[in-house]
Amino acid sequence: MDKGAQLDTLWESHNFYLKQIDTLEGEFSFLSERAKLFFYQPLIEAMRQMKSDVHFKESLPPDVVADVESVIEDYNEEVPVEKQTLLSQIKNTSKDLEALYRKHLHTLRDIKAFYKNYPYNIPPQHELSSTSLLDNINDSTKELLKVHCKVARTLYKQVKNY
Amino acid sequence: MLGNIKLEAIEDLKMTRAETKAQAPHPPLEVREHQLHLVADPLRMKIIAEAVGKYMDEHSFEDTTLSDFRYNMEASYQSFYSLDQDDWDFVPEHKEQVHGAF
Repeated sequence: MDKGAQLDTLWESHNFYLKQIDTLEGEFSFLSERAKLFFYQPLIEAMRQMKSDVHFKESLPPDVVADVESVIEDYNEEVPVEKQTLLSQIKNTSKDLEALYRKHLHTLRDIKAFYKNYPYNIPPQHELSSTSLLDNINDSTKELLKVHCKVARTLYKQVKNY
Repeated sequence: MLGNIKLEAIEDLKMTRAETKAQAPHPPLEVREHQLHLVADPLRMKIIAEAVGKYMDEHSFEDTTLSDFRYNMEASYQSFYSLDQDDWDFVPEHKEQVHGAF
């Protein structure tokens, strides 16, 4: 493998990790929605019981009745959330996402080293518009990792203590 | 006066503790990737990771298993010393030992 192909492979790894990160971020976002549903579940259940009461419509103002019916309808399609399943999903997805961010940072380190060690082996398609570009990607990934760790821990604790 | 002597003694004690910690044998780290398996102290593990990285770079050698194994070794070292997520360097005490070999 020549140096140009070596750099191709490094950028391919970089892009591969970005795609994987994007997929897992989507998954984590879905789990955050499931957590929201988990927090609302008792309230929705209480609303369902209210609705089953024969005097439901007479005892409440019409706008409240409409709101309750609308919320129940919105959540009718949702699969109920089981606490332990959700906790383990948050834990596993978060762990995988953290690992991907770290692997991405490791690949960036190799890419930076390549540009530093082989400045005359850079094919035109891999020339950088700015020397600080790699540092900026590195800093952004680091920041994303930091924020993700914080959010994931908070979400896990909130679900666990609910 | 007495206060100064006490402070110096505390500083000495702190230094001795730090030196002892740095010199103490570290528990081995263990990494796996497919059939590859390594148990080593942090410094040796990091040296092996650097050597593999250098070999792959100099020979433009591409092998996913070896790359992942190298990453696992580096990540294990980084985690053991609680280094920053983008700090893949040797810790200062090890830098002195490897004398800039990498």
